Amino acid sequence: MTTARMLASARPRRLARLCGRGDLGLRLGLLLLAVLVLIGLVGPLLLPDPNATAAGQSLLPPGPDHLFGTDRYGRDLLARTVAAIRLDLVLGIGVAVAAMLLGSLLGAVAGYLGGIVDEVVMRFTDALLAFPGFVLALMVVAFTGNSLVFMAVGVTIGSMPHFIRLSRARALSERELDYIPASKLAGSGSGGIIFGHIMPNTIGAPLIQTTVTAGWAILDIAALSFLGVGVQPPTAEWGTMISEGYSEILTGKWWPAFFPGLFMLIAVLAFQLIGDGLSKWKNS
Amino acid sequence: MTRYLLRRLLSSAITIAVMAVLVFFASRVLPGDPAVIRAGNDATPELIARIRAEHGLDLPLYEQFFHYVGGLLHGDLGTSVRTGNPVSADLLTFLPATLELSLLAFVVAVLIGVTVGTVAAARAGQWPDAVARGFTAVGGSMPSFWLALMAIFVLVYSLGLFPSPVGRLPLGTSAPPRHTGFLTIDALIAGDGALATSALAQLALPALLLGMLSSIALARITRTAMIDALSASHTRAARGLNLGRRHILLQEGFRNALPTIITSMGFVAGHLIAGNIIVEQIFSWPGIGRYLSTAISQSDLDVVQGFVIVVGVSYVLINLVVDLLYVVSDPRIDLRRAG
Repeated sequence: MTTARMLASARPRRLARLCGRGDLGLRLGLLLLAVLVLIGLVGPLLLPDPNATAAGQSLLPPGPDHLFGTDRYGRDLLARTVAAIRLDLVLGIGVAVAAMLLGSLLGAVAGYLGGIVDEVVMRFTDALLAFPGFVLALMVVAFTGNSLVFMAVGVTIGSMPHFIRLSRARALSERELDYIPASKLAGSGSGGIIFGHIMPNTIGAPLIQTTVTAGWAILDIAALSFLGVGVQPPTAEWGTMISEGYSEILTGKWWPAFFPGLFMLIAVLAFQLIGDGLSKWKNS
Repeated sequence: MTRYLLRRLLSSAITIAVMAVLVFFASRVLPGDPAVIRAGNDATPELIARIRAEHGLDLPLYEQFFHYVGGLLHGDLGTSVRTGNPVSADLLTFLPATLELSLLAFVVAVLIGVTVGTVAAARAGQWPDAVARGFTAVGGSMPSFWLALMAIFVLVYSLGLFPSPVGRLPLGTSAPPRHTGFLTIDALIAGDGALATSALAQLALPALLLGMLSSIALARITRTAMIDALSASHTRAARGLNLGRRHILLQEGFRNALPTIITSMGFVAGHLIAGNIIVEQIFSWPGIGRYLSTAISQSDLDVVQGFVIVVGVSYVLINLVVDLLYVVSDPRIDLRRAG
């Protein structure tokens, strides 16, 4: 108990120290994410309507009136790029958290119960791992028809296998610890042990993996939208916007595709840096 | 070795079987009616009913399942609504374009990944390492389609270094007689050097991009494995014996990191497959990736199903080969003890 309490008090201090002067990557990642979130929250209040079209303002290059220029329909690209922050971040984080919760639960159940349950879950996971996550998501969207919800479900399923493996491995070692039989003696059922002991004690690594997964989810979602099966126009979403800028590139108009992609790169990079920094902290 | 091989083959076969079942249920049980999706926007109830009957979608689920499995065992992946051909035949037609692109991209990925990882490990903590880590961090966060579009703008549109992204050959050029399906090689067989050069020029930019994007995981893993090997006690002993930088880097470092590096080739293959779908779309490359994205936009579901199965099976087989290479590359692995 005392060790646990020491750990509980030491960890936040170590994390604070790490954020304060330690890992440059983690600090940069947190800063980038904070700036993005701030722009995403405040920006839309100050900027014009992202879907407002303007005749005669088509494809204006970046300038004082339109910092990021305008697209084919005369829509302000700064307003659209900023409006997309909310949608893309919410989708990316939502998908990653859902994949983490479902995957860790499946992994913990498989690892703790073992036997036939473990065998079935792991075969299923192996089969899912036999596809790159993106192909899996693409398949789900293709079979369910275009909708935002099923795209999110598809990317979630594609991101789940890593979490299953990660938390199963932890659960396998956790269930060998002495307190588990003690808890059984005290009358806990399997459900109680899985939710009360195994999951809380094994969730660390999956939580860190969640940040990196959020970044990958944003990439996958945008790639699906780019192929025309995810978020549908005229919704402002980075992948859809880049897709709309595709034909403009060939005539030398780079800005409709450039700015949304730059924001997406920053968002994914932020999650990646945070994830790397956190796993360094956990292993230190 | 034989026992290990048999066991790995068996487990691969089980994975493939589970995968095929998964794909079947994904296409039938997920809440989307294949007949309705296929019928499109202006579907009449009669049209939907006809599609259902044509594709056997009105049969009970278990009968559909047996038809599907029976078909798979005969190599029948269904029929494309758009082209009217069997999906397997279409995939075979489009496969060489994808393979030609992927193989070149694979070479690029291995060259970049292993070099970046090795240099970073040899100079760990110094500026080359910092550059390498910046490269993998940014590269791993890069939206592939965005990078491709920007590369087209800068390298094709502005600087004119590469030809336009119009597919495997410049517009108005006809393909050489088909032997291997690889246009560069077929052109050489036909004795047309100019044609081979222009095919290679078309191939260069997409292969470079795809290879660079797929090299990230490899670079990261190479770096970690090399650092581990270079800080192991055998390396310290070699340093003590003054065996020279070259020996230490190659024999103590690279040779010991090799099994881990080989294992990560599976990741590279995964990236290549996913990246292909996007890159082929952008470069109008007539491979199976583009065949798939066209099929998805037209709800050609048999094609989606066939593609997913073919990709899944090849991915499982690639990983099987990678696992075997791992065993071969590390003489310390004792399979008798591993079981």
